[in-house]
This record gives sequence, structure tokens and C-alpha cells, in this order.
Amino acid sequence: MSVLIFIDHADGHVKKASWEVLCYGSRIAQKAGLAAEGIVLGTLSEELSPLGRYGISKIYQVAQESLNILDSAVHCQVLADVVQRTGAQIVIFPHDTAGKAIAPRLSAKLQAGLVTGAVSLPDLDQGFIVKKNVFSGKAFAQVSVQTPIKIITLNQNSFPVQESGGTAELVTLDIPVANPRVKLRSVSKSSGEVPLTEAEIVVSGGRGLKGPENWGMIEELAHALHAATACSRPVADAHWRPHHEHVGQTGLAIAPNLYLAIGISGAIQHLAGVNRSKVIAIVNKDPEAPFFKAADYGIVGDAFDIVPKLTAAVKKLRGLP
Amino acid sequence: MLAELLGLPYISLATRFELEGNKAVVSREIEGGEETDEVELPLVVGCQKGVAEQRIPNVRGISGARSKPLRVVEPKAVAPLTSLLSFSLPPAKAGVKLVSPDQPEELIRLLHEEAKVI
Repeated sequence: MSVLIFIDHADGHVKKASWEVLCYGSRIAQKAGLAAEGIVLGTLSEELSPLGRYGISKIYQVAQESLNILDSAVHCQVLADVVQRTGAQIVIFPHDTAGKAIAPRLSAKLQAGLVTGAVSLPDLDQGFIVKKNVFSGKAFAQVSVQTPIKIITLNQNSFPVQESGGTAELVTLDIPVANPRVKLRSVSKSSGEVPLTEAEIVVSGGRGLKGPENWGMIEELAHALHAATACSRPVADAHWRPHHEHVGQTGLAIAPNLYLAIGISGAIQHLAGVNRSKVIAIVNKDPEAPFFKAADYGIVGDAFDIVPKLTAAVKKLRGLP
Repeated sequence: MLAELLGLPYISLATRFELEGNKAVVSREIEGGEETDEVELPLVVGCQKGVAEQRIPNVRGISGARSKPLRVVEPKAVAPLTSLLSFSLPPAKAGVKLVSPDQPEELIRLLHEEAKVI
């Protein structure tokens, strides 16, 4: 009887999104009177037991190196086994690449009700009701889960990360792992200093920048802010920027603390990817741009004139040269 | 889910797909980059924009499609695992606060002191 929380990791380290699901899962466990336990598939270079600071008492690990590469079929098989052995009733995933690939499979395998993209704690007073994002973040839906085992993927940046003292007991599980059918050939990481989905601040550029040669000032501003860089769809389509930087309905959905959009008009398809950001600030020379209706702060003006001044102001604020 | 019910591997967010004999070479988006994998067929692929060029059908193709048989398959009733109770709208935004283009540093000050995100 427990809440089992999937701890996603990359390059030997626990992802930031995992801290959030650990806190979220621990709170559910507290509300439901269950134990909060984490599960790690694969091997890491960092210590796992300090993750107890996010409220979990135990971490299971299936320490097979082959699990470091995502093959959702294999991960699902192993997780189903873990759920059975631990008697988990609620399974929580981050709503990231791994979570989105594994959670639906696990749902089909265990005949467990699945809610993807949850945004708040479930209501346990009348059954098990979870609030989730629908219509690309333009509305919420309340979904009731009827099955004995329940699966949730939590939208990133939806739940506050809180630390308390405590360490978790690490339990290594000896579970047979099938050979993966997905074999890794190569990985190319983007050049940006901060990964887009984990960034607290994102600086994004659109068609208003006129060409890829003008991205230097965006990168400079992002660098000063310790921010990741993103772009709108026309920019990715024109190959001014790599496709994985594209945020919007058909690209990445992000929810940073600050989204700073330069030269983006804010079409509804773009807003779908960014409207969960805490604060949106924009620079656009067109006062009629729809983005001004969705933003918290705005400047009507020429990006080529304003962005260097913003960078200078940030550098001054942070005491950078 | 489909892949699980069929017992097949699944690659999501594929941006490139090529066949090499009995193997598929697929590039997929991962957090902060791209990964290229090799998978034996059969498999299920979720495609992302850019995986293939659209082909505009010619007139002959369109008229030929009309005479193609359409097989209608009856859906199978299954017990739902979840049910949708209601919808709600997010709270409206308070409205945008405009900063003069002559003083862009004011925006940074507001983001720092008022919004506290910098």
C-alpha cells in the first residue's frame, strides 16, 4: 500500500522534474495515509538516499545499466513488476518524455486509470478526482479515476518543491530486465547552457528578429539571465534555430517562472506552449499583437533597440561586466 | 497504449525515420537535444513535425480514391477506467503592464522588484 513515484534521471543525475513529483507524491501519500516511495530504473552517479528530503521514506532501484536508455516497453515491464511487488496503489510520473512514454503503457498493462498532465493534488473526498490541463492549457478538466490502481503524470512546474530533513532507505530490487529492442546510436545535446524544460527563465525569439544572424543579442540576454533560449514555430520552420527549441502547440510546452518573448506576435498556437509560465514579458513593435493580451509586462518598441538595453540592465543588476 | 496492447516497442516524438533492412533508424527529441536510436521492426512511432514531406495528391489520385472500398469496423465496448466530470477556465490575466520603450531598464526593475522572477 503505497504511492510509487518514478524518479527520472539523465547523465547520471536526477532531473529537476523528479524533485517536483517526489514532493507531489509525498503529499498525496500523506493525504491518503499511504507510504511514499520512489523508484529508480537504471544507474546514477549521484547518491539517492538524500532524496528523502522531498518526503519519501524508501527508494527502490533496479540498477541495470541498460535501463539508462529509454525503451518504454522494457521500462513498463519492470515497473509493472515493481508495482506488483510493492503493492503500490498510486503511481506518479513527471509529464516529461519518459513519463509520457511509459505511463500510458503501464495504464494499458495494469488496466489502471491514467490522468496525464495533472496540475494539482487529487481530491480524495469524493473518490479520486484529478484536475488536468486540456485544450493546450486553455482550460482544466476534472477527471475521476475509478480503478484500484491509479496513474498520474504531473505537469512540470505545477507543484512547489519543498525540502525537509530526512533520508530515504535505498532498496535494490533484483528484477529480470528484458533486452531492450531500442538501441542507442548517438545523442546530440543542444548548445544552450540551460535545458529548456528545466529552465527558470526562458528568452524566446520570433520572426520579428528577421534572421538567424540576429540571435546573438538573444543569446547574450539569455546568458546574462542564466536563461534558456527558445523560438516560435516560423523560426524553427525556417531553420533559423533548431527544432527542439520550438515552443508552442506543436513544439515543447514549458512553464518557466519568467518567459521573455522578443518579436513574437503570440498566436494562440504559440501561447499554448507558454501560457503556464508564471510571468510573461514581451517586446514587440506591433501594439496590436495578440501577445499583449496574454502578457503581464510588455514594451511596444523595436527589439533591436531594446534588447541590448535589457541586457545591459540585467548585467548592471547582477553586477556582471 | 497501442504499443503496449500490441506488445511492440514505441518511439515518441520522432523527427527522422529511415529503414535499413529490418531495422528502423529513428531520431527522437529528448530534453535538451536529440537522440538517434535503432529499433528492429515492427514498432509503433509517434511522429513530430519534420519527419516527412507532405505530398499533394494529383487529380487522378483524388478521383481514384473515390472508388476505393471503405471498410467500417464496429467499435468494441470496453469499461472506462476514468470519467470526465467537468471543465473549468483558468482565472483571467490581470492585463498587461506596459513599459515605455525609452526606458527598457524599467522592465528589468519591475521583473526584479515587483514580479520577483529575476
